[in-house]
Amino acid sequence: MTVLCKKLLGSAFALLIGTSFSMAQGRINEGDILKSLAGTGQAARAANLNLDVLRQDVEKRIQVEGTENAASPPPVLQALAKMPNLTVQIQFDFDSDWIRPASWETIGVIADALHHPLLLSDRFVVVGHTDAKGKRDYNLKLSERRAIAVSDMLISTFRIPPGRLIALGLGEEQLQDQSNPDAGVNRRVQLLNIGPR
Amino acid sequence: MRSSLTIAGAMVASILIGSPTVAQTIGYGEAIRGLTAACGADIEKHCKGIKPGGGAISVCLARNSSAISNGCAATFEAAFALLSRRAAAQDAAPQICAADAKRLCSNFRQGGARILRCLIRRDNIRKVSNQCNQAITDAGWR
Repeated sequence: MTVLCKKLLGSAFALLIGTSFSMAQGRINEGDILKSLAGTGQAARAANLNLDVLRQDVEKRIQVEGTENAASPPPVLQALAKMPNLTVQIQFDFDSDWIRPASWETIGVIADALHHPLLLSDRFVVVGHTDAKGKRDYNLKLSERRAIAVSDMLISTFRIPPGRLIALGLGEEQLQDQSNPDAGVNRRVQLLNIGPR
Repeated sequence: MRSSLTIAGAMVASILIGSPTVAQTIGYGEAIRGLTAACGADIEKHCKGIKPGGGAISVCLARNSSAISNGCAATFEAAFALLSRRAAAQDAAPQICAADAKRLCSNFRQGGARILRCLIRRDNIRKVSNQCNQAITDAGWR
């Protein structure tokens, strides 16, 4: 399982050259998450991120032929790509939103960080991504169900108040590795800090 | 106290001490690691598709108690108890710390963890009551 914890304050290109390390070698820890997410709500405010607009844009965009893997994603996706975030790989059952037990610890550690005083007042967008295999609209729905599953587990098992989490599916619309659209590294879940209410 | 007790250790401790007045808690990540280490394969086999939360996994494992591994059968209840204990500590802390908050942090606005951040300030550590300090630690809030 691969984990990427990094701040993406640079260009969207920075997304493509992220360093990754295997969960087998080092499991995710609360300190890394705090470093990635604490105090980054300002960036979302500055980007004036509107999730309703974002959802509508993405829904519209996937109906248009020839926009797959486009070199110039819509402004709202570009803004999202530049935001500081925590990227983790969560193992789901094939074609399902059931989170495999191997990834429960990762979600538990994320919960520990979200309960920490440094993050306790912030809200987060849980973003689900798929690789580019299969249909775009199907992937969009699947990634949304998976984002909901992660946020449901944070809420029901690890007691994060529901009002602090917003689930968002981006399907294959924001690939981590655009030169390898089917690669596993694209299947990931991101957390974005959007600051206090 | 961020205890590094293993689940087995916690079980032994709770058997020896009975019901300790100070709850030992560990983080959610550590608690769930104990569960998935012992029961991950059993959950994959017997509880696939059942979403965690509301005791659903615990119910599933109990229903399959004759089929699951001995290691899982011996530990899953204790593992879920550790999750509950952390949750209970988080619920209890505001009440336990109410007097300290009033005494030391009355000039802080409510909400946004402001009171908590006041209580865990370095210069307040010695002024906060032992019970409140322990409650904050048990809740995992430092």
